[in-house]
Amino acid sequence: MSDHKDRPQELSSARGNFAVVRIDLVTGQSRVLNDADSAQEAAEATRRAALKNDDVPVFASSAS
Amino acid sequence: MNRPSEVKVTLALLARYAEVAPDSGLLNIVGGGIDVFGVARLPVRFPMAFALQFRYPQEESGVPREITFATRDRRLEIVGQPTTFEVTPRLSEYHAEGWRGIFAVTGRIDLVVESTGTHSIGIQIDGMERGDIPFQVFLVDSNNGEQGQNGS
Repeated sequence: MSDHKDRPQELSSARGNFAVVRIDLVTGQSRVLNDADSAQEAAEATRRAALKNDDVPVFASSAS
Repeated sequence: MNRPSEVKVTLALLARYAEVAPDSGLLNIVGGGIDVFGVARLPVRFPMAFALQFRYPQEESGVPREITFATRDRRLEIVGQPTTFEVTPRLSEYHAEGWRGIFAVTGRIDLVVESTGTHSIGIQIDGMERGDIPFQVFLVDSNNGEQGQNGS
């Protein structure tokens, strides 16, 4: 069994290779939030939007 | 003549929560794969989280991509307004020769639906249909959550 210190180091190839985007298909507007600060802002917006709004459907699930 | 792009969508879904962790660039998705909504009235607009991931060949690193999202209803008519944004995927320092890069997009998407039945969020990359996020909409009684109208 390998020692913990032998565990490969994670070198994410995705690092810096992503975009956080606010998409509005009601108005047709979209905004790319690329830098770290605005990515954090978008993450917070995502948390706030996570099915807590009164406007969200009565239910949302997977049909299959 | 330019060779057609080999960009391939490998993941596209709605979720309760989705983000790219800013420090690692890794995807965090909670409640991914939502594909049916019960709504108390129509039309209705609501926010969701989404995740999109696509792969691209090494030689296409640094090429700007125009990504378009558009919702269609069961009659294939556009619902709401399509939108386009641009991203530029770039391979990081850690990649082997010939590696196909992975680019992730997450965030918030505001949806609008006007009718019951099957819908699809079409995803175009540089004008070519590359993927979709299908979902269904049903009218339900908001008091007991039971289905009130078939979505077919």
